[in-house]
Amino acid sequence: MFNILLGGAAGQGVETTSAVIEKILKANGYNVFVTRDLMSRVRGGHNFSTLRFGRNPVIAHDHTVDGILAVNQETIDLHIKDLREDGFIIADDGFITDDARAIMLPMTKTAVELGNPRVASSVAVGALIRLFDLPVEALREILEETLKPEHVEINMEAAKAGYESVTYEQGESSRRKADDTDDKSETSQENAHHDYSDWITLSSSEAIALGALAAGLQFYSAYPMSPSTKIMEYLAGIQYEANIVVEQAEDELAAINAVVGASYAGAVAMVSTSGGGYQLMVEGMASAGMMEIPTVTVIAMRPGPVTGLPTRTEQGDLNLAIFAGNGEYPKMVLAVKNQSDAFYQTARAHHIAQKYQMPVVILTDQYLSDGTATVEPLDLSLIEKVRVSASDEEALAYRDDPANQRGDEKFGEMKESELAANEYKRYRLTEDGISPRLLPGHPKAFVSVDTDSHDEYGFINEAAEARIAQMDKRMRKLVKLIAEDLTDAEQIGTAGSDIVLVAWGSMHGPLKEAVNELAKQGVNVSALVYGDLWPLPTEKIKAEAENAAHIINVEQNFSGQLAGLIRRQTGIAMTDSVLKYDGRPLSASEISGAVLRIVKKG
Amino acid sequence: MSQSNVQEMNPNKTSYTTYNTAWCPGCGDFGILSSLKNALQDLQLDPHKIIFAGGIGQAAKTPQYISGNRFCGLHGRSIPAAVAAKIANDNLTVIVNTGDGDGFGEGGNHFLAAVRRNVNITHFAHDNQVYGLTLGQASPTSLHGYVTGSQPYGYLSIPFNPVVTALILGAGFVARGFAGDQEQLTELMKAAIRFDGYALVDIFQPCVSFNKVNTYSWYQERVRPLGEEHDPTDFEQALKAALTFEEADGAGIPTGILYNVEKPTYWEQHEVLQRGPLLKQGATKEFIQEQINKLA
Repeated sequence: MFNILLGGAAGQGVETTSAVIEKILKANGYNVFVTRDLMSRVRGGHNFSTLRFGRNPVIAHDHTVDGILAVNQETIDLHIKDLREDGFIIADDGFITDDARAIMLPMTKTAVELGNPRVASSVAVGALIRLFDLPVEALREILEETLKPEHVEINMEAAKAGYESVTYEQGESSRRKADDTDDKSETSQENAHHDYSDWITLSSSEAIALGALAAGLQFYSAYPMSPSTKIMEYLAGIQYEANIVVEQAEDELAAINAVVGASYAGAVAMVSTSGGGYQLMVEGMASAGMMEIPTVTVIAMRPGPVTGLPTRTEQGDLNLAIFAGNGEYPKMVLAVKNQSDAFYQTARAHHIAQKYQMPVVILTDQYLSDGTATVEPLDLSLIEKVRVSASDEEALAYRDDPANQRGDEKFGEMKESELAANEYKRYRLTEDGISPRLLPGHPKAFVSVDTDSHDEYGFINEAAEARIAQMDKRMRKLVKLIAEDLTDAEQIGTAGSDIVLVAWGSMHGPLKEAVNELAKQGVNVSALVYGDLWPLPTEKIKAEAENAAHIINVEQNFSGQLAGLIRRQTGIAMTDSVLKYDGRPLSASEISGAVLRIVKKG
Repeated sequence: MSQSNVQEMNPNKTSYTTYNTAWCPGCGDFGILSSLKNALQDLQLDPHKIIFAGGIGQAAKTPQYISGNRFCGLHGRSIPAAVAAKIANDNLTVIVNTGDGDGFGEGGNHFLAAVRRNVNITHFAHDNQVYGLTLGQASPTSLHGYVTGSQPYGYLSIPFNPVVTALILGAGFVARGFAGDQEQLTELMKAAIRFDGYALVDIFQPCVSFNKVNTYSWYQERVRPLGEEHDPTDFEQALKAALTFEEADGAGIPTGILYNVEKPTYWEQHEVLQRGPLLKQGATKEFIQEQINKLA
């Protein structure tokens, strides 16, 4: 495995260059995992990507880097401390460094000679292609996909100049490292030189959008907020071909209420935001719970509180997602573990929302939303479209009946007693709490929903009996959910270990790698990684807690929100914590280092 | 709804059923509800094909008192829900009843957006210039200097003018009515429901319990139905009428259709909606597969 860091100022094309390198590595069969560390500004500052790649699936980032591509001086100054002893730096010969590992190239000079100083980074790309022995001509196709036509040739020229400025021999140890040919462990030999060029490059933003489409998404509304906006932009761009409506709302309150309204009318609907926006959606979420309207809400987490660190990552909104909202209502909260999981979980979230007629929250974060991974092509055959009126064939038949046009049934022909008889029990009391759902427009029923406490018909009713009956009915849905649809935490490593790590969502990749790293060092550790978080599955943690000497929660937040949740639901307290809240992703080496320190301490 | 909640029906009067209400006797809301039923009956609309949306407030309870599909959502938020419900299923007629607090205070931003988005919904604003449900505080449309329990020294803000606001934002249908003139109000409602696009009828509605200033007689002395000479396709005339809100001995307050000009609707501009109701649509498996393939 090899880890490259590409850095420059905002506006210097670091994002585009990163995407180009990712593509050419993948075209050459590498599996690539990219993280994006951005500043919340459009110009200047310092942005960087790390591209970690190898011949086995790469599931997490790393802080230690093997190569640096410096498009600005800051990249050298800030990151040289993270460079391995035998690593390299490719930098402009105008930058200042006396580091022996630096390969100084006339990047800016070449770019200026070619007529556009902005193509300097392509000189570095060309050098990289030579060092890793990648086919330089494949670059043309990638540039054609990525850039405006008029910029392709000049960037090709710049890359060729870079290619010529280094030698094949200079890249020998880097190639060996990237191809894992130094690593004699069994697993890497087994998968060595698998070709990943036919896999796909995926962020959780695209994965969530595609998962929702696969489940039958029809209406999507959101208010822009990093790092969730990419979902909206992706869906908006394809809405005419996808046969959906994407509407940017005037604010987050409108976005969630629009989704509730569209879903009431029968559309499969979704909304996304970040934690700050979700604060504004809390009332709308509670209304979906009270009115029993299926909704899927995505929170792409970034560090808070409030504006916090707008472009960075955190897992600080678990409590918000589970507990915000006045009173009590049933909902499900789940976190996605990686980019691929985001696709399948989003489709599942829509199915659960429809089945239980309630809101479902999906948690992802900037790490997975802006970051990309090389994953197996998503398998559409595993996903069915949701059924909107879960328990009534008639409602579906209505949807497809061309006779259902406005005004074709005349009011005057109907007797008043019949009208009253059309009151239908939207909130019929049932054993499992799920009432048969019809859609507005049904020829024989009025569909009434209410945020007030209501009776079975959906009319305001303040009687204690109705209150208790409806409250119990709504909450019964969770009993069924726990029995039929809840998935317990994923176990990594062997059950019954002395040391158990507990984490959720995007910590999956780094944690898996950390468990393997620790095993290589002879430390047997197992991990539980939660996807479903509310209701919280408790069986595995109870079983693990019985034997473990150390139960350690590993989270990207200040207070250990999962630890608090587990304690609340099971009484099990963590013995130690590994927490990070600086907005930068927690890496496997940080986790394993912290675990070793805890274990040594006893 | 239990049967006991349905009052004895008058067999001579076809209506959208009569339900017990929680409104005060003499409330202006009765005139609005009655006009609404008359309008719907005149238009021969099937109540099964109507969504009545409301938020929170006395006006927002209107859906509870009429037959049809009912969405009784959140304070101030019925408009975005109604707009989206209409986008989801264009076969349905969507009618929103808000109060002045619900529609222009709590839901002010949604009101502005709904005008500009121009989705084909009908907005009846029950405008009593006071908060009724919370027992009598100033609303956005309360008169300057209006004294209440929470504004004991008088309301200090400039009153919100819904019809002027709607007009300057580009609304295609703007009307002003009075709960005490049901004949006119019924016609205004019919025109608003028929209008293709967002339509606002701001309806003066005396609050007999909490507004001792803007009473039936206060309105009666001021309302002046617009005559033949008013051209509802003339924006300047519309704006002039909208801005006219004067004392009884002056020009009074013009009521009627201030402005009526169809404009491109959201529906017309969105290619997907042109293909039919949204809830019959969605991405095909082939299309999604293509998008996945593009990521390779």
